[in-house]
Amino acid sequence: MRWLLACVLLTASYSALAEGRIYGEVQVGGAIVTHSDLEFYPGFASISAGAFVFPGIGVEVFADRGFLSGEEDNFDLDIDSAYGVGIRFQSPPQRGVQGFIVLGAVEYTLEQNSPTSPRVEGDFTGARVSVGLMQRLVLFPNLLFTAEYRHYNADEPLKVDGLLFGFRFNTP
Amino acid sequence: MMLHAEYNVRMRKKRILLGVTVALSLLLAACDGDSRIFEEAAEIESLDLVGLAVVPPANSDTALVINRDEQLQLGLAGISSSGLTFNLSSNGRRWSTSDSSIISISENGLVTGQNNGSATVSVSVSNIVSAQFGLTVNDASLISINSIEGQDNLERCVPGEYFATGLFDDQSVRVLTEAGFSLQLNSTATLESTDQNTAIINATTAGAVTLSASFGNVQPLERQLTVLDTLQSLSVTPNPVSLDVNDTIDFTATGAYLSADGSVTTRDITNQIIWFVDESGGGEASVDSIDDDVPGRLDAEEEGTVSLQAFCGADVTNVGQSVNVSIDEEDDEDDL
Repeated sequence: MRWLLACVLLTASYSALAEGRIYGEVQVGGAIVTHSDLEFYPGFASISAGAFVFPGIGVEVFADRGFLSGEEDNFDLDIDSAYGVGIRFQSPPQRGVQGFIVLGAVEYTLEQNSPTSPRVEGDFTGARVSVGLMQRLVLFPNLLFTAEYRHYNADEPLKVDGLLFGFRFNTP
Repeated sequence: MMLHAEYNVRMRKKRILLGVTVALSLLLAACDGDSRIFEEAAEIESLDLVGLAVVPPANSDTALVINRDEQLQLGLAGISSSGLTFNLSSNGRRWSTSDSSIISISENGLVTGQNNGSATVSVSVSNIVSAQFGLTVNDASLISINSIEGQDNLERCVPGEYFATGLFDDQSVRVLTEAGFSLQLNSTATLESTDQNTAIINATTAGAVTLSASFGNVQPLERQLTVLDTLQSLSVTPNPVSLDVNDTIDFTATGAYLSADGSVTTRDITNQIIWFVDESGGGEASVDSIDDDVPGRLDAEEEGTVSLQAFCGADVTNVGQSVNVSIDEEDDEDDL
């Protein structure tokens, strides 16, 4: 995964130098993590940075960090951290709105605690699938409001889905 | 010159994008992680689990001996902090063996003998580990079927369990996990199931029954069983019953049995008796009988009266009981 990250960073840097179209995004959101008939709603923040290698197609890296535990029964569960790479496909703007899909790979760590059973920490590697919308802000043309549904796939029956909102900055 | 440089940049970008796509695809194909640890922690919490025990197959000897390539299904029991013991699924667990060259074990607890010798198996759920369970692999041939184990006497409509043991050429006597069982022709008893190594017999008529055990080409062994005429009466509850069309109700049958000391004991025999519906009263209903999914479950179909009949055995002169079931037209109030 680290090698892949390095490759994507190199690609993004190269593209940025070549075309100058780079972007960054900051998001916060809530996840739904389910297993064993338990449902947790932890909060997490995500940052990403990337560059367009073709019009509407970008490569990016992202990293998440949990800031709020989800509680259910006697357990609490955190998305400790996540990072990965993705390819972004986005539509041309229509009245300032753009749709996007991100397909990528993610490595994430979940942590589960309970006062009466042992602390559990698990690392997962899997796929990331995101779909979302971006709205360009009138006052700040390079700033976009984003809403995204994100799914991290790894080892069923454990499921991780998230809904994120944030802002994205495009270089001119 | 300028056009050529632009072309080169585009081609390089395409190659890079292709490379990243291939790398991502490879990574996606290599999903990794084990969610089982999270589920096990939840299982421990919800069941208040403090201990585990490996459960041998029913009727097994304490010292389990199997042949090479013979398979044996182990079970798993959980122990709660209050000391209660209960069955857990043995599937998808972390089973381990002390010597995989002697015994292999699947994640579902299925043991396979590999080579002669002794080894132990254990299972863990999160940080709870069971005691070691010993097994011996000793490749030997069956000489004869040694015995059919189980009670001498059966009671009508009370299932009896039987299993066979065999004498092997290493002089060991083992439970025959793959023995076949049969009853003599025209028997009033039925062989309900031969799950694992156990035959379950349901006898409906007093008299004698011959049970036969076989294994490969070895001479079969027969055993005479006696079906006692101790069933005194049969009662069905609830009785009487009033239902609406499309209602479903589960009936329970209880048999009263005369013991040797003259006292009467009762047993739930709902699943071992014959149930049927007499529709001469004008109503229509259906009921699950002994070979159906839920014996004693009646579905009311048409308005009128039906008589639910319950008997131990097909002969209606046998002990039985009738229940009048009155069926009214469907009540729509629930739908409002």
